[in-house]
Amino acid sequence: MIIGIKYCGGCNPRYDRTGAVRSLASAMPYAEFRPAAGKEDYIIIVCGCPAECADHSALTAGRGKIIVHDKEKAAEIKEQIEIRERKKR
Amino acid sequence: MALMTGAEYIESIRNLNLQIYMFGRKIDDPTEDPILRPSLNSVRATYDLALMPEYEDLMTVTSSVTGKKINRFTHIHQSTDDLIKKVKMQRLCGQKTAACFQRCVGMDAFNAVYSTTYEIDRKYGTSYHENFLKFLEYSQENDLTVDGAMTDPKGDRNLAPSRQADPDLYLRVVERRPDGIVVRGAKAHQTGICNSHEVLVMPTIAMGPDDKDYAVSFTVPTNAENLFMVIGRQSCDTRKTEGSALDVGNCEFGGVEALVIFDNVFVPNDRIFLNGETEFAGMLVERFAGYHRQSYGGCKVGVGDVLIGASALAAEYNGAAKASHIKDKLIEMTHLNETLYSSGIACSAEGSKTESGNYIIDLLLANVCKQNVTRFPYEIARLAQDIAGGLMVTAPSEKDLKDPKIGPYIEKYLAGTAEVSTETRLKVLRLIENITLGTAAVGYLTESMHGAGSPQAQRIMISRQGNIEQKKDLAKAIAKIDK
Repeated sequence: MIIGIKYCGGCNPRYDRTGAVRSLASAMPYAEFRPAAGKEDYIIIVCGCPAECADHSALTAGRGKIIVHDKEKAAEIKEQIEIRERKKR
Repeated sequence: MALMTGAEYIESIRNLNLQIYMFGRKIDDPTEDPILRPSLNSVRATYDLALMPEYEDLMTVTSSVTGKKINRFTHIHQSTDDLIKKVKMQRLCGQKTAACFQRCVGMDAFNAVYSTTYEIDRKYGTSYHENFLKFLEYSQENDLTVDGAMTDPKGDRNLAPSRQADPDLYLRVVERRPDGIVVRGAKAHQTGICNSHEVLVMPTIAMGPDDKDYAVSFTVPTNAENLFMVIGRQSCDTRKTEGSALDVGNCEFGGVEALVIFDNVFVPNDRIFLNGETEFAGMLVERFAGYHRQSYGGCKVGVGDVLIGASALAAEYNGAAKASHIKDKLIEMTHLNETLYSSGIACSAEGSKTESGNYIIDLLLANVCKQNVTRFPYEIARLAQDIAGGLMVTAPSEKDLKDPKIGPYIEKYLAGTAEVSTETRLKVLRLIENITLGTAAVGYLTESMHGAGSPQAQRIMISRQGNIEQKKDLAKAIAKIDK
């Protein structure tokens, strides 16, 4: 599974965005993480606040995009992906 | 090369061999000078951040000219979203440097010149806009840092440029030739000029018909013949030559200003954007000032974020973090800082399209933003000093701290909470000192006061745009007063 990461610009993030992605990557060792280019299975839009201003309009993902803007939602990404994968089977 | 790396940027500046003077001598390699290098590092941050995935969404954008990915600092705003992202980018850069990162002034000049040249050409059939588009594409393609130079020395403030005792007190055209013009004069307070590839000159005030030679806008490379710079002194500047990272508070980043002398500098025709059309000088000044007043609602907020964080740390290290008055002061600092940000975002969200197609901020709100900036950082700095305590300005030097005989006494008697070393405590106090009364106070305080125009300049604009007549009508309607 390939997961693309797209960050917002990070002007005033309410949590550690890169730390959240590092945690996710270590929780999903079977997945390949890379900067989002638009050809990944999933694209995670990692925003620092509820404004969710990251421009991801040009990015399309094979199986879906997940947008998060706080650490609680970021901690649920793995679960969200697993639920989506189960539904597909 | 649409995006330069930070290292490439440093080399590009080194290769310019700029004519920079400081302390009565010409600097051999400005990029390695300990007083100048931190300011170069601040601009470098705008290049480094643009290449980091977690910041690129703010730091980069698709060029409206070439369709390529460019640094936002070279962008022409295409929407209110671009204006908002500009402010967010500036806050980010302020957070990462705790200093003036110097590249905004060029971006603001780009956008002001872009729309003004379009309107001059439409009236006079000149080719200034085409000239500027060529320069813009060159800047974007080479990821250049451009200094926007507006402030003339101005001499007797009561006299127009053409009435000054010394005609060079405002930069002017001294010769018109078939292939271009020759200019003479100076621009003062130029933050970032010694870290820029090009300088974009603009007039500093609205002008009358007698000021034709002074209504001039152009670009030249910063290493142009007969152009040189004299660095201004800053409080505590020579601390940077002492080799102590602790004592300077912010050892990596900073900002410096220079007086830039144009001692008969030649400008080729295709680099001229205004040349005698006096009635457009005011438009250019007003638009540049508006954009730059918006900028302060981002950059100073970012530095404020660092200062608030430093104050909170100082309170923790002093063991005072739980005191209610400390918590309240941190809340007040945050409130003031976010108020600055609010007006920066507001003037961007209320922006509008110019005739040329780029977007300009709401001028009333941009001037309100800057008026707030002339005040709130001073109050934030006062509260930071209040929280920090007197040790911020009485602490001994790093050399004393590291001295085998004296050091242990300093460790012992200047300790705060047991969990934190004395050195750590001193580091954060020096940072607060740096921002509130050291070299960085030039940027955080006095530049907040006078940069992008002194407070009275904003009050004039607020007065013009405030629409008092409409407000009187509103009051009359409510009070049932006949018109």
